Amino acid sequence: MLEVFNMVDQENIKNAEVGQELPPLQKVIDRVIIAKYAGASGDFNRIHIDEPFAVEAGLGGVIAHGMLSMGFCSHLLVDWCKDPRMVKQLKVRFTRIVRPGDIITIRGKVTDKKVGASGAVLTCELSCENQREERVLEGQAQICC
Amino acid sequence: MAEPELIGLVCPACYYEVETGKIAEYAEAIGDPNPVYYDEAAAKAAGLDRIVAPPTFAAVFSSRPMRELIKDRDYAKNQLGIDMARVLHAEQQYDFRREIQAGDRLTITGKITEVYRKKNMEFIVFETVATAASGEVVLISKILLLQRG
Repeated sequence: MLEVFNMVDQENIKNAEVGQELPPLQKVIDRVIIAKYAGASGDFNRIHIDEPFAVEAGLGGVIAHGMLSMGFCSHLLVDWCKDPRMVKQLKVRFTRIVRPGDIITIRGKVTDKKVGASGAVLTCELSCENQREERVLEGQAQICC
Repeated sequence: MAEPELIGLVCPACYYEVETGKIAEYAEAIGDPNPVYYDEAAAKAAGLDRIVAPPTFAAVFSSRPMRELIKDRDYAKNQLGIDMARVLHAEQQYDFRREIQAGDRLTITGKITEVYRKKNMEFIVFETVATAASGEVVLISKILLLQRG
């Protein structure tokens, strides 16, 4: 369980350097996680829930929501910057299907930093890879502090 | 087949109230145990006014106008050229004006802003805006759908 964030954590983010890597996360995908995400998000598209439907749609079986992986990116970023308010922009591309049984590693790296009068804007490159090191998501976040 | 004539098509507006129970359910679904998503005291100790949602909690409400538009599969296929059996969510972008807070009463509006083809794939972009009861824009969402040929 995380400690509640404090001002020291925010200084750490302001002092982040280009090239700095965020501590990675790992998530194991199973049908329960997909079901929980369907319920939580309200996305009951049959490709995530109905196995015969997903097979008939040419997907091989039920697949995880791309947005679940984007949620994992949110977890990665807020674990690092601590304050959800700092996340100002998130953009991702879903590059490969995620299936039950996949193990997803979520990574981030600071690729740009602009410091101004009102604070710093950090650009973080995001990526998620499966257990075969295939990229399932790539994207970018803007963190403002 | 989705045609460029779809550009500018307005989706039905939707209304959504952000509740603490739903925030907790969503945070648990993405596996994020940050106490500001679950516990008001923790949120206040962190300098927040109330429980806040993970940024991607926007997924719970921000695509509702789009889903309303295409919920009738026959209408979507025959009138709009959008065949849900061939559609995948390809990209997603959120621009946040402020954090999503428990208690937010949001109006979400949306429209189709782009339709284009690349090789045998079609791309349809929906842009939605979530506005608080105060009139303040909370976030803007861009959803890129890919329709396989």
